[in-house]
Amino acid sequence: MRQLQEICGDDNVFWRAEDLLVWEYDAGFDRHPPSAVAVPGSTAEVAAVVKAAHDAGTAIVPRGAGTGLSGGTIACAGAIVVSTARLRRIVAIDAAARMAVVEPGVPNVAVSAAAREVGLFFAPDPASQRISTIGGNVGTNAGGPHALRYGSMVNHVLGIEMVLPNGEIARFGGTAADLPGYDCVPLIVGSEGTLGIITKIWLRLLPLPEDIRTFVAIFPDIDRGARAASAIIAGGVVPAAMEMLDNVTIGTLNAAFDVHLPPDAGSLLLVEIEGLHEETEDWAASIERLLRKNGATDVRSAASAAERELLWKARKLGYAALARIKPNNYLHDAVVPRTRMPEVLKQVNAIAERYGYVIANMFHIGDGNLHPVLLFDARTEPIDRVMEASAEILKVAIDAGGALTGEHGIGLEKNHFMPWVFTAEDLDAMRRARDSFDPDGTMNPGKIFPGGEACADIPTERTKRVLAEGMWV
Amino acid sequence: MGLAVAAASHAIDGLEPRDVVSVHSESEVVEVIRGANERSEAIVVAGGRTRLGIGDPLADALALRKQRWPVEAGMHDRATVGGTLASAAGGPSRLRYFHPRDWVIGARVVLGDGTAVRSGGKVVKNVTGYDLTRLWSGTFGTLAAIVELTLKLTAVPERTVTLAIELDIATALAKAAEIHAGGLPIDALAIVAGDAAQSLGARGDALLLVRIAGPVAAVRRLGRALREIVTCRDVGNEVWERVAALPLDSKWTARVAWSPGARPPLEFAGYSAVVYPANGAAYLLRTIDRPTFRRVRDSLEALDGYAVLERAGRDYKREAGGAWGKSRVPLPIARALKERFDPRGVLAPGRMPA
Repeated sequence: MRQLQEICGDDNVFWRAEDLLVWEYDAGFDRHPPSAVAVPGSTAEVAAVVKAAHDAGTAIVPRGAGTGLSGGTIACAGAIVVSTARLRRIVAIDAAARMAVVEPGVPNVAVSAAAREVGLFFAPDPASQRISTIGGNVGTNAGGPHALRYGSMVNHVLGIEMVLPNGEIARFGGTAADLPGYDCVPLIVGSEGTLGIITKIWLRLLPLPEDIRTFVAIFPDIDRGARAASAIIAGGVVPAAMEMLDNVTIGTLNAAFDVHLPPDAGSLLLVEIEGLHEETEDWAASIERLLRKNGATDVRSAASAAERELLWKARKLGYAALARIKPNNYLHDAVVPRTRMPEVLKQVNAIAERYGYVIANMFHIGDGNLHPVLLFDARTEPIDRVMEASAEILKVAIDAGGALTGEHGIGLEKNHFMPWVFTAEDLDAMRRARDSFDPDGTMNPGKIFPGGEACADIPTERTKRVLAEGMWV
Repeated sequence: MGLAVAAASHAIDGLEPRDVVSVHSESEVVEVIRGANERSEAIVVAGGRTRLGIGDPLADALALRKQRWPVEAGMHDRATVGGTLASAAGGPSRLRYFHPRDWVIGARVVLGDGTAVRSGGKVVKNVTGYDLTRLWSGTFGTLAAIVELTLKLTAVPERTVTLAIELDIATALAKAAEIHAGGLPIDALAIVAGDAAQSLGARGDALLLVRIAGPVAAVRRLGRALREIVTCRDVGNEVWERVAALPLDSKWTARVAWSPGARPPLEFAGYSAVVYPANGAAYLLRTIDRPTFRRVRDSLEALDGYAVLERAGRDYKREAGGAWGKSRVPLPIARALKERFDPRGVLAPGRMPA
């Protein structure tokens, strides 16, 4: 503790039980306090903290804004949390190179705001972007609605400076592409803090599109909305974003924002296209035709930038608004091949109905990334049952040829489910990569990989293991 | 998939393999690598042997569905998908479609100890564990032999047009910078200089090539915008295949790179080269004396760039300071990866800095 205080300063180390309360959870529902929290103010301080922890045999959990939904920042096994809250500088915006260099604690939205001044933007836009940090976004390979056209974080991270688990500072990638040697950048993106602590990131910026058009298409039910979305993808035009909102979500957004969506709609597609005027004109015509042909009862376009921004604000803050219905929720993140979307949605909603949960669907339908939200009241309804329904939903996605997570990460939420998708050999290959960086296993123990004991005392851990084994095929 | 696991035609740096094995299934790859692992023999995985080695059949099958894998690696009649990923092949498509690895969503590979493993999946968005699929890119078969890839596809644009103009190299670089800075969605941008330009029929010093693609109206508008910057003419899209193949056709090729925001520390005057200025990358195509090469390499490395010898004789490589120059991955990490994925050093030993 004294060592941490010497490195970071007394004000930047927390260890009293009451101070640790705010560091024991993220946006998921697992909780566990760290043994201490250090908030270093520079790469050198991060390196010193990691070295000290490494020498003491103490585990480390890196943490950004704590908006993660899969428990990636929950500190188990006596770990200390290293927060990036003081590493918040935008180091450079290089307009000619279309590149930003930032520290990990910079909020996502700040990058686009800074880039806009030179006619550029940063594409990944997770719904949490006002709060979530670039470091955390790298950790989970965050996506967002516009990942449909532009891809997730991994498509936009050019270089990473990272403190290795032994305290050494290393750099991967950077300004020039394909540097000599193994390119570890895409391995580090999405590694959920298990390979080191990121201290600087080189990001790709893109030119602001000349024209943006946003459509709201109304459908009588979910099925027709899902079929229309599939028809658009099959048609060859890739929208910048394509989101589905179901009836429950529409009602919530109407209550929380001034969006005036048709309350009787069974589902709604929010479709955005970006490009040259000539491109958007062309694509708008074909998309509108496909929407109507596949059962849209109404297609409106946002009349102004203000109207478009309101729609996106409602979409991105919509998750929080769901608390109007029930105080707690379980927000899922699963991906299915796009062609399977309509049938999977039916099965997911049937599971929620069978368990008696109100379900809200508000998700990235364009890339098959489901976000079913099960709404419940933790004061009266047992968490185990919600988890059971959730495991069934995951199983449906996996059986359809999908993935356990598209953008939230595995963390300690889904690590025991990894054998549903990967063989022991596949997982061992991932362990070989981890061990190349962290042979002692001190970085974020208990995450991603199944079977470890580091987080065994988390209350939901037992339930997860039982559910994961029970549905093993 | 016809993977030749490495005869005189297979010689690398003058070294001839003792045996050439052709394999046609994952289980055959596993068997060959396991055997080599047990006997501690070296293996070099070869595809079409264009770079150390997309083929038309794939492109033809996709074109029927108006789809394509938007990665142009050169020599499309020979280059394989596996080799393109394993070599992180550069080329004209890098401007709009970025890295080949961004168009691969899943992989099956055989590691150095003969273990077959899968990564990724069939969906375009996936963070289920580590992204090993992308890690294999640019590893030149030194960590794993790729046996199956799941590709992400994109629709063929309605219209594609290539515009060209002959200029002196300095003007070509300046015009390319102007075009790129304008922020218009350009599909590909290249300058072919010196002998290489003449091989494409240019009389001048350099040939500036710009490709635009999209809906017909958008292409017309882009063409107008470009003609306001330079007077260029429509030359047909086939030229790109020749441009992409130039680095593979040459006996001596150096790949150089710098920060795309900076002025290249090399003016390319007097060089035979293909330059992708907006990507900060170029291929030098005519052998230069070793002291000059070392100077070029030093000046690039000082600016965070590099010069890699993709094709050169063994002696040249040795005297120039190696094929790769300064490694940019911490060597303990590179060594650890190599040791863990290929414990007995069976897969193309010595090919990558590790």
